[in-house]
Amino acid sequence: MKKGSLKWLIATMLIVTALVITACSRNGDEPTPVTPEPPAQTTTPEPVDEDDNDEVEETPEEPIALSGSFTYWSYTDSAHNLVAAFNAVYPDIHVDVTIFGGGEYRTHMLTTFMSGDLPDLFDLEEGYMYEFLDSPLILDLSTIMDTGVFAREWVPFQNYAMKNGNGVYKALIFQSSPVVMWYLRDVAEEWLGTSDDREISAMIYSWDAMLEVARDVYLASDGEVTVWPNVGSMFVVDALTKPTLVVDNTLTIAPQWFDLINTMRRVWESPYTRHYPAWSGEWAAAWNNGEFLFRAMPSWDFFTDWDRNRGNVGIAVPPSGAFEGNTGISVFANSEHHDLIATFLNYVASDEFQTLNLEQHNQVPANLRLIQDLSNGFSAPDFGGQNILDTYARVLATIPAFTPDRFTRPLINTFQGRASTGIQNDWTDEEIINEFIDMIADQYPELTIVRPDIP
Amino acid sequence: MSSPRARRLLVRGVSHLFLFAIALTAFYPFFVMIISSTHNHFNIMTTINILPGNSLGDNWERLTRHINIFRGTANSLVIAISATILQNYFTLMGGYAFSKFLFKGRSGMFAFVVIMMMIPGQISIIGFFHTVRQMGLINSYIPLIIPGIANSFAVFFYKQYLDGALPNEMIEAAVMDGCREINIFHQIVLPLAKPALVVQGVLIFIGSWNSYLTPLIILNDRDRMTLPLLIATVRDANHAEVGAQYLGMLISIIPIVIIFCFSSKVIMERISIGAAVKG
Repeated sequence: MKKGSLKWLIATMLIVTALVITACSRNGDEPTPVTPEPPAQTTTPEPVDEDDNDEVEETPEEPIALSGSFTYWSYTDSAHNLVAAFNAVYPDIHVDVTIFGGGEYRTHMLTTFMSGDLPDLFDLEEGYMYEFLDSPLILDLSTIMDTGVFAREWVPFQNYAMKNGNGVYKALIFQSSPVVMWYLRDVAEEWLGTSDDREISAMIYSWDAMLEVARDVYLASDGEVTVWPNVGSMFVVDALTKPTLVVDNTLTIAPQWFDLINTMRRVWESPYTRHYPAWSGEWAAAWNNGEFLFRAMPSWDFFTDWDRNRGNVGIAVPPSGAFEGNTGISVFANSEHHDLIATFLNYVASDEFQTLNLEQHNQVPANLRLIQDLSNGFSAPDFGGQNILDTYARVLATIPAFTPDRFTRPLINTFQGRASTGIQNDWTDEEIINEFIDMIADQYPELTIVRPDIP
Repeated sequence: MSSPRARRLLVRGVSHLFLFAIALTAFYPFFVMIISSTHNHFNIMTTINILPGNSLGDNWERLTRHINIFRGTANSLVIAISATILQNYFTLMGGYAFSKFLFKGRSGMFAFVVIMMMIPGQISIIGFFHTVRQMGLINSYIPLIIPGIANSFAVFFYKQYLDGALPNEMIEAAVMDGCREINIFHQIVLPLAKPALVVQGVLIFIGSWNSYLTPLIILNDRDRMTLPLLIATVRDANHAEVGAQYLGMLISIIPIVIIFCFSSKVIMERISIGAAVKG
């Protein structure tokens, strides 16, 4: 190497090293645990109590003279919409939103909980929410807001879903996620003779009734159109109405689960069912093309081609009540901004925001009283003017109210996977159950497993 | 006369067809990425797209609505360039030591390095996180750059390379001429290892540029996030934006393509240690 080149190399290395050391230094000295950003509060807001909340909610058009800053982590950038709506009312409260990629958010939260240094506010998805809710790092919401309103006004299952195993409110869920049957109005008119959601709901009140409709439509369309697309989705609809799988750390598979497997098997073997992988592109395209009639999806569905089918969508009541994909907002117990966070949570729980969320994003409020208030004469343009609140209210009434735990959703998902795979590969019930039990025994060695008598 | 020629042409034709098929297979993911970046989410989900769509502008708007992609690019560049230079320098030093110095326990230590190559990094991620936290380095770039200095594959690679490319006589001559050890490294080893440095540098740069899990658990501050982390955030519970994510991926590979363009000749020529030695 030439001497000049060597000097250049060494100089570059020195610059890079200096750059790295400068760039790598942390933002100030942050003791642990602390909030990620130093407090930027310029005025001390009044402590929030119930009366204040009412006042805030009743005069939303008046910007409130609160100021300060807190951090908010989420796994979906729709959190920005939420914060934008909040800032329209509270312009002086800065919410520092950080989004982490969806699938890895849980990993990030796991490590962050280990560090004990959480953001002031953070979202938790239903699938793993209950792993965290018992942590003392998560604040009891009753210390900063009126949680009595949840018991009085919230949809019952959401009221329970916000609690941990000790009955303490640890997460605010501001929208319901009921599973409904999505259909296209013109396709329903053509093959069912109606697009009225009540009439359609009556046609598919049970899986047997659904199979009859499937046969009629299949034959009338010469096999071109089917009613139901796969067996996995049946599990989503029915699972929450079956007996709880884990009670007191013991896994027990009640006979009702075998009934579900058998119903899935009958649907699979029916010549009138077409088999699309749920949530696949093929599945979404086929539904939007009118090649099958119903798909079970929560209210936050993102498989509708709205450019093509806006105004042509309908929703009907499924055979069983279910919800899926709740998002809870939790608060760091050691945050220094509980007053600001209380203001934020009260806004998110307010009629004002839940109505806005319904009107702008077709999301179902968690407040049942609000749903009932709004449902009189409600019309959703995206759904051909259907009173979707009326339909959702009927579904919500059928969803069992209980507090899930860290086993609930993961076990249901695992069972769904084993049952769907088993039925498609012609496994016996015993093989399906054994597969399921083996997987659970590996994942949760702390569980006592009671092997069922196979009917 | 024409028969051997025809056979040659046939063989060449079949070979070219085969190579074309392989090239097509390799290029297809890039093609999908490029075309998908111009389509909306629903088109991507439901259709096999061959022609460009008209959603490039919408995807760009969606991609940049909540994230600063230029900031992410700058952050990724700082980390990747720093990691490339520092890792290359220190692992070459390690490889040189294993190659040319005779010391007690050398074989055992080198075996340890080789064994370390076989342990997946993800296994130690929790322990790594704890260590980083105890050192107060959460949200810092140091854990993303400095630990790479112990890149066991690079040490192994340089050791093997220098075994063949650097004759002992050259070192001995330098020592006899009174050259200090550090100067031998800088003036003899570094220049001779240039082809290997380029190859390993590209590997380190790409690895650092694409790194996702470690930055995910270390970086909390949005302004410090790397490009892959930021791109992954372009999603919505109600409207997954695959088109915008494809556009982000397309942008994120531009630096890698540039690096490859500049160094492809060296990589192609020296990709194998044997070739480098003979060269």
